Amino acid sequence: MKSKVFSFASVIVVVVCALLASIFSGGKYFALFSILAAFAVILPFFESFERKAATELLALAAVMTGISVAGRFLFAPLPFFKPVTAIVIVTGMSLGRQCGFMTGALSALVSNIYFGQGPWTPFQMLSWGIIGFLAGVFSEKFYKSKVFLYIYGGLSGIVYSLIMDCWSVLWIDGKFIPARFSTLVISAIPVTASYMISNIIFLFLIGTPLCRTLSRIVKKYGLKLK
Amino acid sequence: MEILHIEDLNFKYPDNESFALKEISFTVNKGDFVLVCGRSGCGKTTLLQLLKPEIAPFGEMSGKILFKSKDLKEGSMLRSAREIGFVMQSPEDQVVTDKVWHELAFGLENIGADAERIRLKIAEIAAFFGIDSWLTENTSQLSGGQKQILSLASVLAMDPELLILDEPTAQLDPIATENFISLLIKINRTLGKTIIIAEHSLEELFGASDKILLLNNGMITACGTAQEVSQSIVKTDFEFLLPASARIFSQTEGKGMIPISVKEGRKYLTDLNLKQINKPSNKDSDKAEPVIEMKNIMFRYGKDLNDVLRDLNLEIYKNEFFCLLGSNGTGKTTAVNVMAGTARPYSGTIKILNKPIKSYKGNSLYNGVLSVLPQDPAYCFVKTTLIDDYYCCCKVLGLNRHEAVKRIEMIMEKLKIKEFSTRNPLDLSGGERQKAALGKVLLSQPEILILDEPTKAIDSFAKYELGKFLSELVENGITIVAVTHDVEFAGEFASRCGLLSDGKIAGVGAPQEFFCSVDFYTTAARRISKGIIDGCVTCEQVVKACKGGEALEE
Amino acid sequence: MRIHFRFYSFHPFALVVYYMAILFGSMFIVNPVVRLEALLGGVIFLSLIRKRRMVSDIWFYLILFILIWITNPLFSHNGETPLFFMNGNPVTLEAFKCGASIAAAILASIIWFASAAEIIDDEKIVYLAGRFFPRLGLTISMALRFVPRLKKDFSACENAQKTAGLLTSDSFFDRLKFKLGILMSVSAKSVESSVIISRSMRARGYGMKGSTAYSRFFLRVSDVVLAVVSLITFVAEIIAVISGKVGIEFYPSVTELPVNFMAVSTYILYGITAFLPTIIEATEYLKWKYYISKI
Repeated sequence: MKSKVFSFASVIVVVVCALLASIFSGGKYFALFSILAAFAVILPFFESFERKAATELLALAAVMTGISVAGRFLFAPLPFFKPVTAIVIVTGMSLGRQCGFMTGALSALVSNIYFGQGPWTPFQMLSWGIIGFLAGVFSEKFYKSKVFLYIYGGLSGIVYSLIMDCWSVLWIDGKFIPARFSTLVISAIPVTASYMISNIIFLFLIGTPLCRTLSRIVKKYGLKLK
Repeated sequence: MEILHIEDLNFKYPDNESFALKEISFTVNKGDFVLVCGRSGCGKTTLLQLLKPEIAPFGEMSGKILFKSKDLKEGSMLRSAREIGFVMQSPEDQVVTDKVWHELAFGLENIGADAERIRLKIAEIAAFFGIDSWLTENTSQLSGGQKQILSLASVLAMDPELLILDEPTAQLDPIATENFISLLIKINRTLGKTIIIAEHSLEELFGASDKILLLNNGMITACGTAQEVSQSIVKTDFEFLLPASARIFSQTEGKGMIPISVKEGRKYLTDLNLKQINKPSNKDSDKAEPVIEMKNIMFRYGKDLNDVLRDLNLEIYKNEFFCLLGSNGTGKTTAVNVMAGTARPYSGTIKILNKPIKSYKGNSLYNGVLSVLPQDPAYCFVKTTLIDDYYCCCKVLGLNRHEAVKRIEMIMEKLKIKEFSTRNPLDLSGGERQKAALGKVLLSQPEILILDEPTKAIDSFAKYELGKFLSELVENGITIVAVTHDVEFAGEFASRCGLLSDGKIAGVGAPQEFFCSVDFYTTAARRISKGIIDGCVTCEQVVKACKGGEALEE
Repeated sequence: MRIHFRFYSFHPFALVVYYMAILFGSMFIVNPVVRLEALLGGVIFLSLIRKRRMVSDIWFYLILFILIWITNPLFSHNGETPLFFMNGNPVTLEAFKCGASIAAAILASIIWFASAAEIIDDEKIVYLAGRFFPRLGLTISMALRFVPRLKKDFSACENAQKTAGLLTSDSFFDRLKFKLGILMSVSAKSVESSVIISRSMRARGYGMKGSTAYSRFFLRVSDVVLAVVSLITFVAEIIAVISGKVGIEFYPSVTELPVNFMAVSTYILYGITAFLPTIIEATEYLKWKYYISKI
């Protein structure tokens, strides 16, 4: 529990510091500070993965990353349906938060190797990582009621896309211009909605069976997740 | 000098009543080539895994395993990692990294070798295996056989004294298998490595081994040299494990030393001095109506790529067992996909039951007309228990509950898979899983059944059972097309064979004329009997011919 | 093809320092000279790498540039020279100039990222990650191995389930359900095989203390030179940004282009850095031409 609180606190402190620093510097270096902040949040996760992860967990994170990236190719004929977020959530939920974070962060990194890296890579890594991590934190709630899981899936779709929009606006010149932001958000509404809906549909249709698949493996081979 | 000494080894899995291994005692000398054989489920894998502490299964164990006269459990991790190498069955599931050079370096990194040494080792191993040109490739571009050679190379790079291989060629085609096994023999002969191998393709290995261990139900049934083991299992239930020469010897009531290799087999047959021989009768199959007609099929995977199928012409007739042969990479699986309508050729016509394949809408082609058993039966299943999966399949096929129950009942009865109905298909063994998948594709009661490499990863006993079952299906009016690289299987069961090469059919005919018209790509029985008794493809035919010959002599 | 590029064969660390210097300068030094250098250097080098492919891409980049350029005045109404009014808001000359500068910065960073993706390929990413986080590097390498394998598995499974009659119609929902079924089957199987892979890893001694990391990369003199040049540029950029003597302001009116010592040396240093890859490839080309004429 203590480590949970600590990691949350450190995330918040880093993000707040970065925002403050960029505000004090007149917003000009927002991009720089945001990248630094993203790295500052990601690195401790990598560090703990380095120290703790069992070999099986490492292989599982790799295969789940592979599935979510290759899944993008599988679903390519169906526009807007990307299984990445749903797979990351289920991984976090059934294999624990560490595996969830790693699967999320690495899905972003590896899928960008195929679909194009950019300044957005660290933020994608961070957002998907956090989505997986929080899915691990709330896993008990999700197991108790699937409704929470669907709400979380829908929300993470919206929040993910809002954060990326917000970041794009700030990236342009470091200034948060509401008109620009609202234009972007409005133009992105169909995409955001499709994220949300596809996440919910994916979780509704494969959430339970995929969870069962993963739990079966954990049980069959007696894996220790923590 | 003894390298491995096993004494009174017993092993039991946690949830099991019976022992997986019972009273196993044997020794292995330095430089020995040891073959462990037996039916699947006899405890081969358990025994081999117990010899490698890192992957030893959990359970109750008693007895002693001494490696270089020290208890295996007491040795350090480092020692076991370095001195005992282990190669597993599936080439896909043991290549860890994405680059070939990294895969070779992987084990050396783990045991803490420095960069200089790793560089030298990679260079040396690559030269020994002749894989220099792949070093910078991605591992995903290698074929199954190449992957398995890479796995062996990466284990050998750590310079182990003992090399353990658990059915390493089960997933490979015959040519790749031969390559792999001759590599192993080379390693044993020229480097003096001790090798313990579990295998079910024994034709080559039997003669090459110094010691053979036959397991049955977790116990050693026979142990000794090839000759000793052959002598002790001739005329028993395990005779099917023996090489073709030995089987012919046994069934023709031979006396003395048992021939093991093809060469010895030929000598044995020649020495029999058969004067007049009853040629096995050549059944002339009267041409029935064609159920699949493929005309001038052209197929490629992309505009800028080479043709995989070029001017493929093939007719499959009603009620025949057709085997399409060919080595890997000749487009066999593509031919299956085209035949089954999952890949569309860019030119040519396909007719299924006299109707163009395009005229089958939705899933009507797959409901009662044509079924495919894929190469990897695991892909057939969508549910977590077999029975659920069957019901799901019946629902898709539009059957009501009553019909579904009846049909499932019937098929499970036929295949004897009722006991698996509540198990997860993924927990079944290779042979069981294949039976379950076969049951599933038969649910639609197809007129045509297409099988893609049905004999991959199953042992010779299961192979025989499968062939028998398929032959029964043919008798009941189903047409079977099996795509395979297994010449023995085709020789035994097919009613017509074709060889696919360079994107087209290179030769086609009944097995006897087909296999007698080729010299290399043929069955062991044919290789043994060629020029001595012509027209024989299987051991039975040779035996029959021999007996007939003797009868005439008297 | 990129394998034959001299720039591709630099050490990953040198390349990372290089790209950091380039991207930092193009994004944070608000100065038309630096941005032009970044843009030109980037476009030329990317065209060298992509050759024909660049022709179609150039339209995309041009449209992107124009889009950012002309929309900036619609959102930003600062500046003292209104050109005309729209919805009662002034559309200013300064905002147009500022838009061009922003567009150049964004385009330059996208183009340099594109070339970075070609030069710093997966093998280098695995190496860089593995240098600091060995397990992370291995996990990425394994994921990269899984992706092509899973793509193959997906299509094999798709064929298998199609012939089992599971794709009942071509409607969107049926296709979605069908694809999800494939995803499930393949996941179930590959999760299992990942556990087997981890066994194979342990059988080869993975997870012991004192493991080493092997790589095919050598640090050569040229790598050190590239890293040092990039580092000097990087430091100069940071000083330029902190001192504020190199950047220009757009609002309320556009300030003059600075020509002090610091500014000029930044222009020169950044120029050298931005055109370095092109220069290296050109020398390499000439060298080969010379060799071949000798042969």
